[in-house]
Amino acid sequence: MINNLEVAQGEQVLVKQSNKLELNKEERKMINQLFIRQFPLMGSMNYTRMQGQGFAWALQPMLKKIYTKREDYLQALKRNTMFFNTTPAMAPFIMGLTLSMEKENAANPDFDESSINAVKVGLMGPLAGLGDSFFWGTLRVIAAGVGIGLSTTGNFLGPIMFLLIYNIPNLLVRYYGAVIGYSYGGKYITSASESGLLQSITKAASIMGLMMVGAMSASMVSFTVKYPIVIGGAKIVLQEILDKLLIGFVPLVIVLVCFTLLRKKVNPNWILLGLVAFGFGCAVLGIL
Amino acid sequence: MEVVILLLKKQRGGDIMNIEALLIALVMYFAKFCDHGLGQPMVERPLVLATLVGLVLGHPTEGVMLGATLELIFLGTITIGGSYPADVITGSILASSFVLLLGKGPEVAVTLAVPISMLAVFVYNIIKLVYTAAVERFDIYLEAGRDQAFCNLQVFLTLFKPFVYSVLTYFAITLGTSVIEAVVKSIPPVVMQGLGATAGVLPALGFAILLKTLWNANIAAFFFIGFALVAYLKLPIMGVALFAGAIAVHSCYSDYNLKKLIASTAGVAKSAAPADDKEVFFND
Repeated sequence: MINNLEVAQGEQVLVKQSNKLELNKEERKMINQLFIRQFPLMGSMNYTRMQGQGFAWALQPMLKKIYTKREDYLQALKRNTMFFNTTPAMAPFIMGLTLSMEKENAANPDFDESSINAVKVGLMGPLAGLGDSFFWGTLRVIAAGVGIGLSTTGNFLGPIMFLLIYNIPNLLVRYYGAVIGYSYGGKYITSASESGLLQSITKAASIMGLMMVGAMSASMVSFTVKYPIVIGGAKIVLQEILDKLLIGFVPLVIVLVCFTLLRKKVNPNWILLGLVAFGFGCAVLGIL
Repeated sequence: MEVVILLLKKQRGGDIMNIEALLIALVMYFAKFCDHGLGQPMVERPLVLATLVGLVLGHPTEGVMLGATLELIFLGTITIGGSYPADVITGSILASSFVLLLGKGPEVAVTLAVPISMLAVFVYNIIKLVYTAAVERFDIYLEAGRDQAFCNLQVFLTLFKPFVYSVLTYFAITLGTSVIEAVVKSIPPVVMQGLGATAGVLPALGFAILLKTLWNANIAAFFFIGFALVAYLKLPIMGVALFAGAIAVHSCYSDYNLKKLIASTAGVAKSAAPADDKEVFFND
């Protein structure tokens, strides 16, 4: 019972917070500017801070507006050049969140500045996990699947559909990520991470990614065995036997062997060379 | 278009190569700028790049088809965390340029793209080292309160990286095309056959790399479901995407609800009210 009450209260807080999504005119302008400036996040990608400088550059004009004292502004700019690395599409969300915290910091002298970087560091890992499995593992694979399918006949719709399928969600997540990050603030997000909602979403994205990779393994790894075996005058086509055993047997085995080798920390370049050798071997022996 | 370029080539020899090399260098600038300057909008993928190269060289249809071939090869080569296993951009632009300039088939593009992309990673590593040295500069500017200089440096570095690549591309095309032609000419037919076979199995490595990032024993079954949907039910990729999306949404809800349930029953157990167990269960 007590628990239910707490849940109900929590939901009320949520409702209150979601009303905050309505930004005023100035905030809307700020988010629009952030949306434009978040694009070159990786412009100065380097080994020590990764996307740190790009992150600070995106926030620079807003920080200048938020802080009235120049010293505080420079301090904030410096704070935001610290190490940062996540899936680019997820970054605007963290930027919006950071802006709301910087704003809080400017208004409230008791605000703990170190919490800003703590939240950033705490979120970039889980969000990269979610972003990589959704944007790289799933959305790109779907877009590429459709695009490649159309392009093999030389149809221009192929590359166009590829770009549209990927970029419409990509741009929406970037823009609304910034809006949501800015308006919900840090507390709600941290609770989403702690309650396991973020992990659930990541798991769901991975499921989708796995199914897509499975589908692509079946349709896009091609290996047809042409080698005929002659037993007692009867010609047996090996591929027909393989198909009766399991359709796409050879592609599946090749993918799984590569995967097992990768998990055993074999350098991907060696696997690549192995595949090249395998392809050549089959061609020389006339199996393919 | 093709005929015009061929005629021009005969008449003016080297000049046309210069123009083509410049155009390809421009494509390279655009691609590298999109990659790190526009947050990887997939313009930097082989499917789009080969199409662009095809457009500037006057072979649009062949460009699109080359793009499909190369995209498949590099499908699993992704740049998570800013580290390149292979420079897909350089590999696909240079390979499709050479192939279209020399009038060769897609299997030659694969042969060229893979080694070029692996070699080009060295260039990226050097650039990244230089950019790491620039971090100090960034810090000096901020320490001195020169915020505008800080911003300018970020903009400069964003625009400079694609420039390095486009200069390299210009020289690779003007100086390298005849070398590549000689190399391709000397390849015996059995090797070309082998390359064709290799092109068929190479995507497997890409899928394996993706699998490694997604794999978790609890959900591994979905890989095989996806495989079976295509191998046996012959579903197109969009059909699989629908199934996958629906399953993912369902799994997300049930997984999260289960977590909430576990959290709430744990709370009830703490407050020692077993009679409430049922109620909590139904209310959830």
